[in-house]
Amino acid sequence: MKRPGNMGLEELLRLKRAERPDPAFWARFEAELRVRQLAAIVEKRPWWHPVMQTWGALRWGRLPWGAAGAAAVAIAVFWQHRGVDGVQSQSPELRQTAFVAEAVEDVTQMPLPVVGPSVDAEYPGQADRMDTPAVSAVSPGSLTPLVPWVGEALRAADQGSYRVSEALAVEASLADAGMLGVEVGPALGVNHGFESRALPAFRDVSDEPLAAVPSPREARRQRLMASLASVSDDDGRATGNRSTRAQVRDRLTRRLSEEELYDSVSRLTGGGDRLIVKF
Amino acid sequence: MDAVQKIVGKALVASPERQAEADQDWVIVKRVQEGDVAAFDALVLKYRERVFGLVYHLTSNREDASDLAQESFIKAFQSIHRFQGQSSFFTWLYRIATNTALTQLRKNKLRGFFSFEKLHEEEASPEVLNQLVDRTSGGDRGALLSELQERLNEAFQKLSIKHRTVVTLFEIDGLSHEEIAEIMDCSVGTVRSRLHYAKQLLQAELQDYLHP
Repeated sequence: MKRPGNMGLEELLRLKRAERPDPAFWARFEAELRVRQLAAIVEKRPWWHPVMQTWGALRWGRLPWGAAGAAAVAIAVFWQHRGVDGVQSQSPELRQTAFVAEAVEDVTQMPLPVVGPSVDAEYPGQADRMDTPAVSAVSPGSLTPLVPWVGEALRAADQGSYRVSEALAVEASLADAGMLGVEVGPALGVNHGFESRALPAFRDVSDEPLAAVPSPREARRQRLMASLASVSDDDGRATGNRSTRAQVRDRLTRRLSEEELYDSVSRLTGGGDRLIVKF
Repeated sequence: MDAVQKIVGKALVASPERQAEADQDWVIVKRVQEGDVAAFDALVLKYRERVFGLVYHLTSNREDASDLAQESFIKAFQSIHRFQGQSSFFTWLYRIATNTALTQLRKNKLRGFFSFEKLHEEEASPEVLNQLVDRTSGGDRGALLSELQERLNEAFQKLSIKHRTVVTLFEIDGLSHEEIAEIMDCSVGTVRSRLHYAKQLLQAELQDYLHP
């Protein structure tokens, strides 16, 4: 709807200049502004404000000298730290080896348990099986893969849960190596900072009280020999040939001794282009 | 004083009155920068109505305008040590107020309704008021002014923020194109273009009150 007596846009906009607050408004405005101004004065600056001020006041011409000095100090601290703490500056493998060397030293100082030799006395064949691979397994480089495992085992032993069992296993291995004249230190690759020490001698089995108990295998062998002797005597009387009885006894005795071959890994021999299996 | 003249001389000053005003402001600013905090009250007292009017016309809400005007003065007080006199204090303060209002308008955190100030009839143009009375044939003068005030603010709020700012600074505050360009950090041509476009939009919105 068009209305009469219209005016220009500038005249209309000039009316907005007349929109002004009352004097009472300015009193309230000034009071509020005073409060906010005081709050702004005592307001705590943010944490990054000093950093920004320092950054703004930084003399850029001296920045390269400062950076060079900071780098020199950092390098000096690094080398000093490396010189003092030699173990930390070594490689992780060497640190692991040093840890194993310390653990081995602790194990060698432990008293030998009683359980191990008694088991060997009851089953001497198992002791033979343990000896046989030890000769071929111990070499300067063959124990290197075992180093982390030994380290973990000894670390667990320090925690107390498997201390006895793991210590016995390590002790038995070290005792076997000591009996065979193998030096454990070079085999572990420990050449730096490790003082090798003589391993204690393997304790004689006969000193143990369980060694006096007769082996059931020996009793079975005596019983079989007795029965075979009676059989051969009857056979000899029937044939009247004394030499034949002696041959039979020798053969049976040899056969009995060959039973141990089934329990030995040395029945496999090879050479050149052939493989021989003994039964 | 020569140094002050040298620095203020770089500022964009439209008239000798503005030049004298800028010199007075620079002296007060130097006092504040030297630690005389109470001297800042003189600047507040001098510019509070203009700053409030600027923000009020941008927001069309008196409560928002009061908060934003106070915030503008606080920002100026906190940053006055960085004021080097490259422009007049008035231009610098207007720039702070404009940016503060525009930031709040862009965040849309202001109140969503109008809250008008009282339109003082004695300060309005008598010719405009007479034409309005004649057009209503002796109707209620106050109601007619309220209606016109509401239509004006609605038309203002339909403008974009930048166009609204240009119209406010030019038509209501009476600043020059150069001063507006310095405050809004744009070219004079941009100011003229925005002003022309904003007037076209306002004429379309207020055509019932304008000449045919």
